Amino acid sequence: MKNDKMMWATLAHLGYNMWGDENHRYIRNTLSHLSTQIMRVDKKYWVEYTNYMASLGLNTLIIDVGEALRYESHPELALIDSWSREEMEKEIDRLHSIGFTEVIPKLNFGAGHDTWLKIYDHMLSSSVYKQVTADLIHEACDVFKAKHLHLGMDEEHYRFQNENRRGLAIVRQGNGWWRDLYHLVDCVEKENARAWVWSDPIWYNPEEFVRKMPKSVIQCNWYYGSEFENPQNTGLDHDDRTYLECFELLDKHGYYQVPTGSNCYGAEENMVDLTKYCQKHVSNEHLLGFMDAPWSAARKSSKERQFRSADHLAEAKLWYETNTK
Amino acid sequence: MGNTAKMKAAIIDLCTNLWFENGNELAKTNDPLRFASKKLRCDRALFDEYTEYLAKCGINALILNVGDALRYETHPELAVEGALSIDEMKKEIERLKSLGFEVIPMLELSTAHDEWLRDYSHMIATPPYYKVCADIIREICEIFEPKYMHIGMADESADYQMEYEYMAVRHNELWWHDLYFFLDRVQGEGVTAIVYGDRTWGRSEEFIKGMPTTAVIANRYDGHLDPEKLSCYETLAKDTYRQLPAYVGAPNAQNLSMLDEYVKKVIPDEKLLGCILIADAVCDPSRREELFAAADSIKGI
Repeated sequence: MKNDKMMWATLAHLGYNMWGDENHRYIRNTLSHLSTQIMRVDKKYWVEYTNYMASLGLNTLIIDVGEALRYESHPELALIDSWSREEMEKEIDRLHSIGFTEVIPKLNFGAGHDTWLKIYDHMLSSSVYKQVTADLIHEACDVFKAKHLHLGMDEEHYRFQNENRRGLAIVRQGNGWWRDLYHLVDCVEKENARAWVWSDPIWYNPEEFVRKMPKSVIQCNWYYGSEFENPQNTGLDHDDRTYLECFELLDKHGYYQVPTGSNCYGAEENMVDLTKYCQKHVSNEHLLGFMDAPWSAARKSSKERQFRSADHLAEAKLWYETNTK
Repeated sequence: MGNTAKMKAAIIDLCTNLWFENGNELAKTNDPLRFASKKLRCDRALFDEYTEYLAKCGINALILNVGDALRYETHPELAVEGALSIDEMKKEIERLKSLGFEVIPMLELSTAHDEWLRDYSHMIATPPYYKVCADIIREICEIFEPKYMHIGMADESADYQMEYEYMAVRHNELWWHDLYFFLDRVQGEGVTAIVYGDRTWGRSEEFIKGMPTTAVIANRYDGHLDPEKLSCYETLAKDTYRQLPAYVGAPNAQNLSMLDEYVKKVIPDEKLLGCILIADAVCDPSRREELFAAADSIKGI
């Protein structure tokens, strides 16, 4: 039976220091995703963008918070223009008032996406890191009154932290990664919220993933391509086939999912086709909604991609509601 | 080494928490000594016997990889169970000197070999990390009163750490920044630093540009005839570095003799301080044979 509380979610970025280090002396090559000391959010555009999404009937906003909040527990993480708790709470109220039924914080703790943690991104798995992450999760849950918190944890491989991106590469592997994940999930669950993660670890080691990933954690598997034919007998390349098959694999093993699509690689039809694919291959019971991730800063220069992306999600929603019993 | 003034050193790992984390399930090796332990794994009787044998083999310097085998006054939290007290270490140094050894302390500060730093190995390039490194370098120098101190810096690459639960790799200027920090602390104590030379492999231009000639370079050779690694001895010699070629001993005795001849040919005598024998084994009874075979392998050099 169709889930009437489906989340139609967009991932929007207030924090954007998620990839490379700042353009300082440790980095030799330039990179578009270097970290900066000021926020990359055009506030006027942010309001326009979120109003537009709400007007399309999209009901969930996932905010990649990162360095955008001046945490009272860790003000040392703030940029000069990070929002105060009061500013963030006011914005969350506004987002609720325009129609978002849920505003979900995302703090990406993946080692390749945590430059927003400043010095603490050199301290993973340490006693200090455990305390800081617990503090930040507690505060984010408190500010957002969160029922869910997205922990990120994607792309933790050396290639995402090579010498063109990071002065110091840190990669948690095997149980080193799982131990920190369990700690983070525990922190979220202590706040009576539910943890989300990106699901890409299942691409590389499905057997270990289903053995170790708690069923309580919501899964965001993603696929941004344009090919959706039956992965068993078509010309899909190996990676695309793996990404698609994992939607079914997660379902088979009882995980709740919010499949994620994007037009970031130019596949404008991706979101609608992904919705059709998952409606067919993921059980209604485990399908909590869909997420669209345009992967761009909230700036007017991104308007075209982001508005198109919102349109695609709205179209997907309409298709799903029309074609699902 | 025909010249008796040359150093013939052997490394002994008092500290063995240099590789895999305790309980690591990624590591393909079955060697239990490669996994971290809460206890000191240096067998006292074997250590005594081995050091006496090394002296008989003509070894005149011992490089003690100290790490967590010492109960530092500044950082007792690093000590493993059974770690030597400062007094015990001082007594041991005296005993070794009485056998004819120069005693050289070593702290392996590469991120590939710093499991012994415990929580601090997860704080690379942060204020607590720099503080603990500075504190223990100073303390080691006070205890050993050495002429040389080996700071390791080997194998810091992603490839080397693919089976670690916690991979950490300093890139580019961060690696150099931290190296300079360590060199500054060692040289500030009036001590000459020894550094492994593998940073020169494949990037000798960067190495020569960055590495001060005050540091003594220990380029390692493991018996596999790798022309690039061999050529580094010559490259470093041309750029006036003093060298202590490090030979990985035991199964490669014949190659060691050949290497010894090679380095004597390419390194000017005044820049060749001697050589280092890496037995690549700890003072555990299960490694007795390897240890003594390594000692034998250097007899002819």
